[in-house]
Amino acid sequence: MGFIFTIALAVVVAPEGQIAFLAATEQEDQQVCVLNLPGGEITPIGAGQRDGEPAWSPDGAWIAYITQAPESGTGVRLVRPDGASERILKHAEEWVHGPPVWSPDGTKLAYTTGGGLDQRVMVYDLDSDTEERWGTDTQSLLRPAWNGDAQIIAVGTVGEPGALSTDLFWVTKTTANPAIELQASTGTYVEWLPKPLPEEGAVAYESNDGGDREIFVFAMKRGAMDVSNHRAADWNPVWSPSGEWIAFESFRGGRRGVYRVNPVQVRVSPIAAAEDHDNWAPAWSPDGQWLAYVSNRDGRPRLYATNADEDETIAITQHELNDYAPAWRPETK
Amino acid sequence: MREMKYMDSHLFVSAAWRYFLATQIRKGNCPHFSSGILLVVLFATFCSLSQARDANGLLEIIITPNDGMPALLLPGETFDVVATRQAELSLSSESGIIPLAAEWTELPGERMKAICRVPDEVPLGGYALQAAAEGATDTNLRSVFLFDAFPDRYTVAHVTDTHVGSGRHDRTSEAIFQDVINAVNESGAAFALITGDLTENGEAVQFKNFIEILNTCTLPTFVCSGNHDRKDLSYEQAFGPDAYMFWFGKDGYLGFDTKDFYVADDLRAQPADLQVYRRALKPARWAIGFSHRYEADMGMRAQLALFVDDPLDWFIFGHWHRENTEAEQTVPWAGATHPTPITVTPAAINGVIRLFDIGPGGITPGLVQTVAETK
Repeated sequence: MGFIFTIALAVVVAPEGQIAFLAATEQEDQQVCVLNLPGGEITPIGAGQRDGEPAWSPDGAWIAYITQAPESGTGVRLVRPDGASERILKHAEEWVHGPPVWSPDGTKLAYTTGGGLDQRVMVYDLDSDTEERWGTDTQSLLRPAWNGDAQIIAVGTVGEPGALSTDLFWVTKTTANPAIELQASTGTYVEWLPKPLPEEGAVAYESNDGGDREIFVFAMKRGAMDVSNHRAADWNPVWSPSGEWIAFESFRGGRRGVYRVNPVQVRVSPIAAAEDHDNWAPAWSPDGQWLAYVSNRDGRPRLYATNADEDETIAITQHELNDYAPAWRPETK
Repeated sequence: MREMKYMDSHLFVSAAWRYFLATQIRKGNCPHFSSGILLVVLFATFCSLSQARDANGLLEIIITPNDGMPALLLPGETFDVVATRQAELSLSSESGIIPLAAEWTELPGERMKAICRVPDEVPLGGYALQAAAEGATDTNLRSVFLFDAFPDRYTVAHVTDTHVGSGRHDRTSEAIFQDVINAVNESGAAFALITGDLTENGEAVQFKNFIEILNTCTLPTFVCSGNHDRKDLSYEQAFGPDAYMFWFGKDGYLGFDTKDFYVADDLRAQPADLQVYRRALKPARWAIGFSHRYEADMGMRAQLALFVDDPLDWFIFGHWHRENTEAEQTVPWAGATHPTPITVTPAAINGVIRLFDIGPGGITPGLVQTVAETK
């Protein structure tokens, strides 16, 4: 009876849906795969040529990722979650840098091209099959993220080599303006990984303003605020679907762990943290109940999921490859 | 019986080598010797190679420390041993086997870690680390070096891009590398950093040949992987982790792998190691990074940790097969306190090395020295 109860409980708490991720033994054979939950079936769907991290389209119909281009260099490919068909985008430049980011309406993809730190934001219109540079000719831009369908926020390099820092920039088709209102304070700090929440008028991002790397949130009424605030480094903010939480990586436990913070209450709680292994790359389930992430708790990077409210953790991949970069399929309406 | 036979044969080799190193280290970490002594050392070390690692020259029971990542210690200090299983650990010396007391704990990935204390009375010098478990014996040559003190001022030898197995010159890559190691032995350096492209294309036989020559070095040698070393997991099987740190007195050193497109791939585990190690090295007088390669667009996560938030005091690498120019004196990032200066040493396959003077006044790269003919 107890055995039956255990199984029933496991079925009840198991996460559902699909997770795209990378599986590999080495960087060279990194391949986009899709994991079906709760069954655990894994379907390789990527080109398997140094594939980069996967990004679901907002309607869950496509997965975009960077991989080796057919001729040379790198490029963006789209693939159906079942691998049934793919679309190879054509780029003006040889080297394309990811991860590609979908516009909220799912009609455009943003990424960067170029070499060194001299990179530019490119936007690919999937309807017209055209690629266009956004921003200005003079401003180098990295790591774009959409803030609505007509505006991008990106990291812009500032200064000369040897004295280089970054600022965040609002970018449109023809402009790239420093997002001065977002900086906690002026100075030669390096902001990184902006993550907008357009419906709330908020942006989460990293900065070393204050001495070490912290998660800041800009909200219209409050300005920029350090919401992770710890002497150990805090990285990689990821908004929950509702905007109630930000998951992030922190070294406050010694090794890299996954934590979450409510940006209003500024209260941090651990999701997966340990002294002898790392947990990283958090990805929210569409209902915001689960966080998938990578953990090397058994020596090999594998995907785990934790229900933060129920304090329930399960291993969701257990094959003989290394797994990285989970991304949960959005809810399709 | 098998174990005793090994111990006897190893005793002889270890004796000559260890005696020599102990003598030199007592002279102030500046091994300097005649060619006659060198021959003895080389012969002794070569004799012992069949006892070290497995038949392919790869790591067996003991993962670290090893001859590419040794432990540098004062008598009485502790050091960590990472192994595939629990074993009886000892140091090989001219007086026989010196057992080590070890406290074992489990690590993720079915590995074990032992914290070992070196007894106070153990003589100074270089040692092989030996593990015995379940009828098998494993020896990592040149894995533990005991110093009487770590000097405030010392010399570091930088060797890079040895490309063992390549046919780029009239002389073999092995012959050139042997000359380079001979020069390092005579350099007066405290230890050597060998920063990647150890082999031409990561073949197991190339690693085996590299290791054989490496083990003729009388100094501690610290290696890291380069883009040419990346075939399957050859480097990891030969030397273990792709990122590590060590202390030499007041100074901290951080070695890491640079992948083809990344300083450290943002998606993987290495950036976390670099963050942890960089933080651990905060108290260092000088925090010095060494790796194979650096390009400004090679992944940002590791760069934030090493060059932006808590910038290293110096960064040493190769890959370019040339020196850095006047316009390439630092990484591009301003850094929270300073931009990290860089020094790029040309390739050892072309017969060159560089020495660094490390002292209270700073880190001073010497001129590139030609130490081997290529024709």
